[in-house]
Amino acid sequence: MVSTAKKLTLESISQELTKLPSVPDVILKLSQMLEDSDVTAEELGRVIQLDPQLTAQMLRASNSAYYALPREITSMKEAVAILGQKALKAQVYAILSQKMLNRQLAGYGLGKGDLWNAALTGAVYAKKIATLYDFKESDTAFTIAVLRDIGKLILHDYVGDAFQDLEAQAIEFKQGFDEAERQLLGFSHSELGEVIGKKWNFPERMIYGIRYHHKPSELKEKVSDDVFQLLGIVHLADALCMMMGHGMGNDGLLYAVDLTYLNAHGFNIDAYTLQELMLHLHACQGEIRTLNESIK
Amino acid sequence: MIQTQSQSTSQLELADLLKQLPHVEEVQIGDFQASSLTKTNYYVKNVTTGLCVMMYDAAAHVGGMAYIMLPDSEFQQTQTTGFKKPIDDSTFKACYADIALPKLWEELQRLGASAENTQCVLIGGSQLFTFGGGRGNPLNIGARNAITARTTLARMGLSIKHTEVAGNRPRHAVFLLADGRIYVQMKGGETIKIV
Repeated sequence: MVSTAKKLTLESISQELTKLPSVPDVILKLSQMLEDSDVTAEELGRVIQLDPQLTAQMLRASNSAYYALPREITSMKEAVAILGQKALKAQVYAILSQKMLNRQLAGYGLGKGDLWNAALTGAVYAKKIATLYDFKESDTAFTIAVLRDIGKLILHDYVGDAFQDLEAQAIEFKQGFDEAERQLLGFSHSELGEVIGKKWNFPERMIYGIRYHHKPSELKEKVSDDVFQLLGIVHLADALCMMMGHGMGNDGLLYAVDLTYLNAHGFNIDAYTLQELMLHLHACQGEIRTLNESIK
Repeated sequence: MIQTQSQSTSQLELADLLKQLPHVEEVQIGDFQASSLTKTNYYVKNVTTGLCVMMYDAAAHVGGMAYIMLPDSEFQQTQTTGFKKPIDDSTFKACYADIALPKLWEELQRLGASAENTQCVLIGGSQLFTFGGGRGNPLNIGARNAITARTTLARMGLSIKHTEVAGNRPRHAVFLLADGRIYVQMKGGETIKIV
């Protein structure tokens, strides 16, 4: 296909990165601290309290119906002790995602709130799917899924003018819109998500999750089985989010689901399993609303 | 003021139409609504593999909309998947085509609808691409939703006036009970008055 689409280069990506909304230093610091299993509740509480708005958001989220705690939490030290480090990490990334993604991306036809809705819904779905499959790192699945489409923040400016070519390419080869982005614009939103993740020093498995959420079988690095499963969970959550119509852009359902990968990693996706998963996820709508309200 | 039927549909944006309508109820996936109030307007957004079924009796001026998620409840009940946590069936008012459509029709009949005057419109049933999976495609829920809806409607003696199904893009629809008009917009595309 001959396309006149404007292509991204490494130089233009560097320029685009400088245009991204700034991330509060406290959130970046926290995301790194939360990777350290030896970090104490006192240390985390001290850092969170440096940002009064973040403290208020996290306390409100901790006391929301989403966590259904028996008593009110009044300090971040207490929140860390009661909710645990992994749940807190999911909360920090959800707040980061809300700050970054709750905006209009005209290139993808996403109105304000659409991308954030898809991010949060996909994150709750990923956590639920992880639980259903007895995968221990359900909070990690949440943190990856909530930021999986962050690369769209850069690519949307390039997608708008080239949309018809991208759509035609995706349909012709049935390889998905992200592959069409890569071929016609030079980079896919998943690849740009990886670039952003590296810039912000996200943990390695999170970067893998963002980079390969549409094409998990492209991960060739030597990683543990856990990482392959995480990728499968996020890939599946993303697909089910689209199938259930959450936060849709013009790219709609122009993506491919890799059943070969999913079934090779124990997901056993047949018609019954898929339908039952959809029913379980449909039952999460109240949880998603509660979490959304608590983070706003 | 609501635009007239003679107006070119290409001039009409769905968002503008929604702003003009004083009373709009959004129907969520897994739910249905029915009414005999002509001021009622139903709206559904981002229908993908799900299917939106609209029924309208032009004589009795009653109508309803169901937004179904899955095709066949019996198919699901015959299988076990090994997931530990049971699903609370009471959560799901109208997830399945074979349950939602008879329920919606029962409600419309209660409001005065008759089969000979009622016509149906189907939108949605789109699909993702698939790699692998062997024989059959578990992701073809959109197509199966449309098939089950057609079969169920035929069994109930209801005719289908129009369908906008399949493809890869989400669809939105607005259904005006005042006169049965239905506008459909493929996400990112033009709004079309289909009825």
